Amino acid sequence: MTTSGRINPTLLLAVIICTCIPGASQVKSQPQKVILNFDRSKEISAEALKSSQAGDSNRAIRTANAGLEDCPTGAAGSACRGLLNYTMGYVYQQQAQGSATTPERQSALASAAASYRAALQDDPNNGTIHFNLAMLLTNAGDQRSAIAELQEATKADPTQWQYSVKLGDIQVQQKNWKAALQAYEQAAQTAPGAESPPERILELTRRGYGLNSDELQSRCKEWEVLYPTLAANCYEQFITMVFAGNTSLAETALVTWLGIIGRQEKVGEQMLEGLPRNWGTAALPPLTALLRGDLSRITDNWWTQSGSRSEAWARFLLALGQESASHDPKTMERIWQTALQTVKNNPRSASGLELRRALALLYVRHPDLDVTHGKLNELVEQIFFDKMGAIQSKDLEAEQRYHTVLGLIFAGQQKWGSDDDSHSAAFQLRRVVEVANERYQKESIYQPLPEIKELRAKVYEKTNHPVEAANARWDSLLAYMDSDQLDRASNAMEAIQDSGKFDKATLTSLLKLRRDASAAPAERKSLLITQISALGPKAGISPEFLQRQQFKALADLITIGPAGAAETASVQAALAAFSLTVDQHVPLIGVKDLGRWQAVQQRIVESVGGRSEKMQVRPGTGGATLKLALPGSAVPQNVNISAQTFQAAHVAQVLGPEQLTHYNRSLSLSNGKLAAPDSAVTSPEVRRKLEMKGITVMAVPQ
Amino acid sequence: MNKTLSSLLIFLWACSTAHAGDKPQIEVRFKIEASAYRNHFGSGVANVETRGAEVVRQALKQHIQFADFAASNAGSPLYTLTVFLAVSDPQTDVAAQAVWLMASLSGPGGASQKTIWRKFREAAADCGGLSDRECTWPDDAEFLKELQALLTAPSLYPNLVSGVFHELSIADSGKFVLQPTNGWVLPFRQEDMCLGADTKLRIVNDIPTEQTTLHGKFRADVEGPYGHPPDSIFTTLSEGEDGADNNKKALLQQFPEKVVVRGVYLVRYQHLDENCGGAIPPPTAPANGGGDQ
Repeated sequence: MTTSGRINPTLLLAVIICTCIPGASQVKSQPQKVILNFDRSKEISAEALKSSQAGDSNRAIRTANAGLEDCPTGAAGSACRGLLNYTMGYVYQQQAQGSATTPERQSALASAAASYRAALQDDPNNGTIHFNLAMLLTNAGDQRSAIAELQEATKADPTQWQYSVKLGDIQVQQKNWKAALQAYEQAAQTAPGAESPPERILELTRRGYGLNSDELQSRCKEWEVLYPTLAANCYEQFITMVFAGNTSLAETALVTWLGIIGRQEKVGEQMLEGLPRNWGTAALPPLTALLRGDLSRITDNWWTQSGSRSEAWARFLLALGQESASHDPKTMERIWQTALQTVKNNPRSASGLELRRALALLYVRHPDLDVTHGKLNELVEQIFFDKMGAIQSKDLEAEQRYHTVLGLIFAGQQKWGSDDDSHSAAFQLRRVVEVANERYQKESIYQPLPEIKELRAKVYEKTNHPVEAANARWDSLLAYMDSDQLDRASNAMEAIQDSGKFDKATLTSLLKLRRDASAAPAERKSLLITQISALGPKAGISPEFLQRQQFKALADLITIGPAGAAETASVQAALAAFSLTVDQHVPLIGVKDLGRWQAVQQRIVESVGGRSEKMQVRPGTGGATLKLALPGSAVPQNVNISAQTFQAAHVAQVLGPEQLTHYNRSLSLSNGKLAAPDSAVTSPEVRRKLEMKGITVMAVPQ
Repeated sequence: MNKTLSSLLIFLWACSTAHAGDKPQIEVRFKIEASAYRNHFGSGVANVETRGAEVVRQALKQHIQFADFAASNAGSPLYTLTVFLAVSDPQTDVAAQAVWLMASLSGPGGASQKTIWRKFREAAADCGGLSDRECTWPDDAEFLKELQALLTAPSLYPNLVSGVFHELSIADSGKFVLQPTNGWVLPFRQEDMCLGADTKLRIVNDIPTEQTTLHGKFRADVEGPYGHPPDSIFTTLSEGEDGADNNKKALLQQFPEKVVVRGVYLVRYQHLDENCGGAIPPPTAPANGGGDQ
């Protein structure tokens, strides 16, 4: 242990490590003895995992080990060995987490790694096993191997954005900034509904290794719709990057930022912490003063000097007033009246209408502020007046907002009324739903409006109209399903009485199918696809509603599993969902549907050997697009469908899911050229069908 | 000192202190303060509070791993986190104001200020707001379900940590080093505490000099796992807590061997990732959804 009388540290280190880490457990070699006629591996795996969960990992390992010995040999036992080695690896990994000492932990980790590697021998395209192995390697400090495993995981299952996020995290640790950004971008592209990938992109940008200011600016704009919380942080970072060189650009961003903060009601002194401290803009002093409770600079400041600034300022004051709600209604009134003055000459101001609603409800709640009801009446009349303007100019979006606000004010006043009395909640809420339906017909934007529909049910109950109340309650239940609030839909279902008018039993089954679809094991997918596709309209269940539910359920079934039947089922589900959206024009509702559409698109493109592209979401109309309604946004968003997706869908439809699964690794689609083995495109008819859609078929060796 | 030997000593130090200190234990309580809710639950309020505490505890366990959250009356932990259902102004009618979840942490140094965490409901008087559930008082089961649903968003927890846990030390030892860069090796594994790379720490140190022992607070950034095997975490020195502390940075560099870490606090908390570097179970796992394969 010594060299020339001195400790040799390197040697000592090696000895310590060797004594700390006992040899890895052996992975069982495959004995040649028992061949079972049926595969009990799932049952055994479940039993082992149950023991592990109960804290008896030794028993879990014994169980899985015994099962492994009973797996058939050769290819027939591949699935059995894959699952049981995966199970053992998982159990060892769990055991490592609970280990009291480093040597015990190292031993368990080594055994886990060996089991995972054995599992991958039989199931090399299992992304989850690659991912677990990567976690193990990164925790053991072997980042290079962890990166390689994560790359395999993302290749095996590109729909799992968590793999790419983890890959990016490790690349950050390794200071491979470019690779990290690439991984995060891939994750963001895969899962447009998940916040973690864009959060990571923003973090990387904060550290100076992410996007440049131009890229960040366009990303902030994009995130305003999809991730409003993140968008505010994004603008803070953008301002930080540009304020020194371009104050005007930074100030424009500040106006957008304040609007977002106001809409999110996140006002407070801490909100300024993300802005540069040494920024000398005239925009900040009035903000700071107001946040400290000083109302002396609420008017005639930087913010009141242009229309867009005033709008953001008014939105901010609306939120600020709400913050002071509990303390002093008079202060609240003052803030809101001031804000209203700021935007009252702008008929398109969304804040103006919200301020009128807030003030009206304030007067309902605090009659002492409006003893003669003059203020409240004036506000209501002004909203009526503006509504007339919207109706005359055929601005349905504005009309719907006015009806909504009036409905809420009258409900606040408990003026339930009747469907014919325009000064009542019943009338205004009915019109909200009617105008929303009209917008669906004309603008293709579908808004479920579950809360409005539930409020309508309440109004009818209050006015003793049980039939209308039951209709509205049923509508609200359907709307909860449309907006992916399945728990609330279940609750609403309980309040529905059986009647000939509504087929409650069918809707209950549909709700169950929706839940099953999001957590279906691979072997049930085909059955679920059949069940979902076989559903037909019933009493109270329109064909359109049914199609919207079918799209959601089918898209939820798309996860890329191991090659074979499950993958065929995924492609089948993707094609059915694609047809519903593109051919049947089923509208997308909310960020979850956006994620579903991305999964559909990705599944189809990848099934023919193409590479998926970044999804574009923009407000407005036109082009080959799908319409998307997002909560909190009255403007429909367009989701572009790329030419490649159309081509991929066409190839997939012509070849069929089984062929695609069979030839998956040999197909490649790029720029309208499909490279496929001859045996995949044998019939001239198939070739002709593809060529009619502009797809050139090129043979590749098998 | 020979660089290799220095690394070896750090390794030995990390080996000896890994898991030496357990995570801080925090008892979780839930208190319904808003008078209208207390009246509504009546004699069952204590039961709702006990069950509410369990809901909060489960949510915390899922989203925060740097502490162990215990049910109330489970021994005598040093810290108690109380989550309140309360309004900003108890003197004003509850129906006229939004109802909030607020939180406060009490420990050896006293109790933190009650901090607003998350809005529970809009003012009941706003009945007729877009969601009309404000119009009804929830029964016990609905209330607990609503509480559970409210606490699922991961984005809630960084705010709770920076607002309430800022005086909770997650470790009371560590080693200041100059290599690979100025920073501290702290005796816990990154995945055990589940600290993401965007986490910022405040590390409180004693710096003994020839004349006296100085105290210094410094900000540090989480860098990543440290050691072979990586049983500790490396954090890089960022800046002093204030101007005076900034001036003490030179002392850290001058007397790295003498620096004694007294406490490690979270300034900004980011969860490592969805499952803290943990494994995804096989699809056969009982009642947890399993993997997706």
